[in-house]
Amino acid sequence: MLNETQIDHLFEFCEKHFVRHYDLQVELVDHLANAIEEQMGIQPNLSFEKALDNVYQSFGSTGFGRLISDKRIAAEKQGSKMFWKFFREHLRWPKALLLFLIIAFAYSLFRIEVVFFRIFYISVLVGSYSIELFAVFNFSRTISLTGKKFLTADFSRGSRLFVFLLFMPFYSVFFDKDFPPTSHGTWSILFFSVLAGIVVIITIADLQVLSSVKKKLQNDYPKAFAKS
Amino acid sequence: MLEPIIMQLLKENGRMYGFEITQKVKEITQNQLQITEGALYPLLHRLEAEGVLDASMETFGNRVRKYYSLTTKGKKQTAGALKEVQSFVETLQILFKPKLT
Repeated sequence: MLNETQIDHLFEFCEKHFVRHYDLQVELVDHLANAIEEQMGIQPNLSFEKALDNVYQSFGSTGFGRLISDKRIAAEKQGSKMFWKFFREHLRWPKALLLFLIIAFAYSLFRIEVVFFRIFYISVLVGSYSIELFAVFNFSRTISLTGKKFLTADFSRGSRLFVFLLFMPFYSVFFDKDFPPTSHGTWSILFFSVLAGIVVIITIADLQVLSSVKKKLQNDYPKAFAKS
Repeated sequence: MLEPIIMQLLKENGRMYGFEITQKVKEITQNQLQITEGALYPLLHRLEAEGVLDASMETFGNRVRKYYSLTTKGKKQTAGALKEVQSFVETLQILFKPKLT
């Protein structure tokens, strides 16, 4: 079995060959170590460096290049899949009750007084945005304290809420005295009430992704997180 | 073709790590088929992202090892993948069967 120094050398080797993320390094180091041990077992006079060189050749002309790019794609897909899984859960009973309550509450507020609706709407936007920013900051801090990068973490940090808010007609609530527009009557109010509900659900789903990824990383790489 | 091979191996062996998979394929095929690392790991990562494989980490001596196993979705897909391979092999046999005059 390879010793600590040799294992450390393999981590440095990965780093030198542009594998910067710990979750990918760990898997590669184990593979390299196994392959080197096998070679050195067959040829006891073979040096560690020569064996490593032979093993690296077997990754082809692109070296670790394809592995890195494919892993990025896979990590992005995984992050996206996780988000949509949590999001869809909130559209099904019994979690859909929350969305229904938000819509009903927002709609009722409008019926009582328009100003209440505006206050509620602004609170939902500002509140959700703030909570997400804080959660992403916290998550990033936890990861950075390990001194390592994780591909899974990189693609989980992406907030769908921020993307959603870029494209939605939310900002008129701050500038338009006639918000919500009543030109289309009930449907207009309902539309903006549903949007408020969706903002809350996206925020919850994003938070669930961050929490889930953090727990999995801490579970899979306890040594890395123990140092932080 | 690599995908059904890996899924079948995992179905038979429960869980395996990357290097183990390459060695098992070499052993079973008596070195006729060798899976390159450049082909194996991108496939394993893609299958993991699709929810076909599950991954778990375990400390092995002074390093950490990543084991792959089939999820419930993966087990269902394996059965389907094997049928496709069998159908493909049968088609090839028909195509290349020597015609006797």
